[in-house]
Amino acid sequence: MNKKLSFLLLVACLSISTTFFAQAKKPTLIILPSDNWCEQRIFMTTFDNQGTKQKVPNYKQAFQEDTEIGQVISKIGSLMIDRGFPLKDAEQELKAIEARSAEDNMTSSTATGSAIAESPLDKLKNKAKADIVIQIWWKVTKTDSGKVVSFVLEAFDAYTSKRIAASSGNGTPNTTDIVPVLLQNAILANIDPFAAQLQSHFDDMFANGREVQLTIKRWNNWDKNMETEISGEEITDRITKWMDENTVKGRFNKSDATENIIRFEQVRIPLFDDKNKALDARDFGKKLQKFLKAAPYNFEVKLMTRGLGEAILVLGEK
Amino acid sequence: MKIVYNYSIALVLLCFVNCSTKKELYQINCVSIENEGYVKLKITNLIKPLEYQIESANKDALKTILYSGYTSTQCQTQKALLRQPTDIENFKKIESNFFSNKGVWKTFVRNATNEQNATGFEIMVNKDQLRKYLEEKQIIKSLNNGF
Repeated sequence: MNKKLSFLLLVACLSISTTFFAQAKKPTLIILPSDNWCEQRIFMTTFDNQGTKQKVPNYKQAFQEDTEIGQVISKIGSLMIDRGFPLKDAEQELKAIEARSAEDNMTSSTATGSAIAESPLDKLKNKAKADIVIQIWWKVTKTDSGKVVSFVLEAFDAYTSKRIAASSGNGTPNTTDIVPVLLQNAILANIDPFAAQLQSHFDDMFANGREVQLTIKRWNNWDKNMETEISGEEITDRITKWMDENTVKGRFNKSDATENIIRFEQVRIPLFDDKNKALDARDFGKKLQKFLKAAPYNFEVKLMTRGLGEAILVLGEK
Repeated sequence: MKIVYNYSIALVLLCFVNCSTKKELYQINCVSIENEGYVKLKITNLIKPLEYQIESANKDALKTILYSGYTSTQCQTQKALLRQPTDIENFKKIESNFFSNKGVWKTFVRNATNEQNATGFEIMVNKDQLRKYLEEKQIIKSLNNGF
């Protein structure tokens, strides 16, 4: 009897502790030089995209050849560690992706010799990812009264592409200090306002949920569309109702709704699910997939994700 | 009788406002943001500059960082550490202890110059340590709070 009682107490304590001390998924941060900075220092790669010439930043070259970027990233990184947010190192991440890719290419099954499956989509998605991308830009201008450093520090939410924090400024003309010192001063002057804005973003996220995008499409060969009625209600209307019930304070924006596609933007999803587990865009999409797979719909649904903050459901088959 | 009473009340209030204004009237200029989380501030009392004590200057420098923030071309705009009304409310509970003779405020300041001149004192405040102290005491939220 006593054993039973203590077991029950233990279970109760555990459930209470998970309820009260549940923590949201900590966003990952990565820091990269801005496209404009790469362009100015000629760290760009040009490639032919079906007849159109496109330029993309060559980060690897920038990390290997630029003398200033290492110390700028290192300084910002150390200041962010101090605030409990270690940054993903972009240079190391690029190396890890290359190593992983090389290892995957060399891996084969011992029984049949089969290679590891990778679709063209998987290859395309094999890039450095983070929940928040911090972009830096700076320029040293020589004036008659000395060197002036202009500095921009911005953070973008990878889920929504929204700018969530920014700090910029121009230093005073300086004739004595060397460029690395001027850059360090610029970082020190910008980091606190930047961290304060980041804090506001996190506060908003805790109060109103994480912002994601959700798109629902249909396969071309599906015998239904979004306007098809199931139990007297159009699929679009039923999905909208589900969104109302499952988003934080019913906050979302239906930006497109045709017979083929429904696009929800500014969808505020709870940080935790019913079991108090941290929730992200894919988990949220999974819940909707489960709902559409059940009666009375019984749809086959493929769930995909784009980047970190967009879930895409395709109705009709997997 | 009623007029005399009203005038006396007004006089007392006026004196109170004036005194409190005089007490707080100092000018802060951010000289530079240094390494290891230090901020160098130049602080001048505008009413009685020569009677201004180093201890008051240190406390005023800390209050600037806590309550109002500061701005200058060298330091850009730096907001106060106590940004939310709840932060101020929380700090008010420990403020008298914090600024008491044996209070911890002394650990966050050091003087860049001990000599006072017409332009005031230069005070170095360890803003990072002060922020960490406030986070530890749960007066303000840390950036990774909730994760």
